[in-house]
Amino acid sequence: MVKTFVIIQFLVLTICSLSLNLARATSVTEFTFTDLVTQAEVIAVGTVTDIREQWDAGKKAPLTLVTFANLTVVKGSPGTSFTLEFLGGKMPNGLVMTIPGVPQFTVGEKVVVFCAGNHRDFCPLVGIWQGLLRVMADPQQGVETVSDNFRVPIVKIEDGKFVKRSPMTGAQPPLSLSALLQTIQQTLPSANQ
Amino acid sequence: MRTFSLFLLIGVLSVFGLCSDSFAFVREESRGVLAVWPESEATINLQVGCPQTPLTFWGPCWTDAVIDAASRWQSPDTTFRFHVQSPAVTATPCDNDGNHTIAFRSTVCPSNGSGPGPGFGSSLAVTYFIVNPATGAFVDADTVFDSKRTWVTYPGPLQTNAAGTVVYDFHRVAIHELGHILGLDHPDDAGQTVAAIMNRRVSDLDTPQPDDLAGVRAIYPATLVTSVQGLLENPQPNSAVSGISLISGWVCAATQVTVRVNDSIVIPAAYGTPRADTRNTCGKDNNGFGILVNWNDLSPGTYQVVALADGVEFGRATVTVATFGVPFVSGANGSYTVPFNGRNVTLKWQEKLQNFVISGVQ
Repeated sequence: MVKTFVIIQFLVLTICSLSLNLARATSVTEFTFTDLVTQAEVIAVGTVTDIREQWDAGKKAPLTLVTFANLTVVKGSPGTSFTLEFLGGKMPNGLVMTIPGVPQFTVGEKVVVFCAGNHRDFCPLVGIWQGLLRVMADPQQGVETVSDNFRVPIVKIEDGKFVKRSPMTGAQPPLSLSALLQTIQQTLPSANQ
Repeated sequence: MRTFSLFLLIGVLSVFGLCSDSFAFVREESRGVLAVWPESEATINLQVGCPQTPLTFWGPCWTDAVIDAASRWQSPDTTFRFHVQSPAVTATPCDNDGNHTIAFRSTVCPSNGSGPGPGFGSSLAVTYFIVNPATGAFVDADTVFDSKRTWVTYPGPLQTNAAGTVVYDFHRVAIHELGHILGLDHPDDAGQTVAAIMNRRVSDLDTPQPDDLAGVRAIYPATLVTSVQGLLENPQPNSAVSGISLISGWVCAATQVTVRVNDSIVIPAAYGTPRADTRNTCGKDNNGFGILVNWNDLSPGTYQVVALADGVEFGRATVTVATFGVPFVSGANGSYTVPFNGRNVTLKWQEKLQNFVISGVQ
């Protein structure tokens, strides 16, 4: 009886995992960790110090300007602070333009950004939400860990891809910020070839 | 047996717990206010045109593919309706002009004169909407597809080219973007796992799933829905069709009547022809619709013909198509007399109709 249950559960789990693997791309092109490192013009850890909305009369569009400071720069030369320009925000008439999928920021939060196309593309993050990782403090471990844009913990980087916490990964500890930065550093030479 | 049933129940529940959250749809919001079309409708302004080679599916034009994509969101149990602006107007995406434009563009917004507009970056298509933050009411919504990408249409699982790159199916991306326009966000944000066309990843799913449709019903509940009054008169259910003939009927109210054949062919029908016989039902005369079809363009076999008013089905017929195996038979002629209903009836081949007509009754 138990054997039958195990077989049924195995079959359903197999079907389930197959269905989870159906997604092969994104409505934004899917990026691996290596893609993010390769295509980013700037990779930096920073704290959001300012969020400002302004109307661009030339583009006839609202922009949201997000400034990052207290930087640890891993790639590129953004200076001591830099500002990313996102399409969207409050308009002069009080209405709000929103673009689904573009990350939202909060002043004071610490993030890792993989930037490309600032002042050129509507969202200056590689792969839109994929180019943003959020840094979380883990008081138990006393270390900073990284999560994706949606605050799902990243547990490791395997075969050039992020592995995120899921029922399949179990209770693995989240990836530390220092381990992430080390992996980026290791990836940079080969990524830039 | 009872133990087995319990194990089975636990197994199924645990698996559902792992890989599926039922009805996990997420609504668009702006500054914490849920976005909604107050009138439960949006009129889309299509500026996508036609490709050089007619589309294999849902074509021949990109416009047809968007119209079909919009129809996938509409069902009798929701009040929401997409309408198609006719004729389309020239409008600029990014402008808060109230035209809900869907277009191919090389940049997300137009050039500001001093340089190119913001680029797509890694996006295939971008939808942006303008909302009144006080009420959540949509004021404008536009979608732009990256014109620098190679787009095609196809149903079913995602395809890859020889280089292993995904072939971009315009139709399913259009369904996804229209889902944003009506007010749905990505349910797989925040780690949810659910089968949905609104997931941020393009997948093998090529049509709205139960979770997606539950989202539409939640935003626009069905209490105000009125069924479409109309009739598909030709072809008749379970009939044979051949040659060139009319798909026709009437419907009381529609911005656009479309006819779908086997889910893959969508044909806009002419609508608004006089039908005085429907005046008592509709309160007006101009309710007729019709589209001329060359059945020879299809392979012989059985087909479902579905008539839709603004994407809502109001008639359906299963037909059997018979052909000579070529799109148009040229140079043939002949007439044949057969007994029918107590008379001798002469049937004559008529090339323009690709069919036989009654040319005499003795």
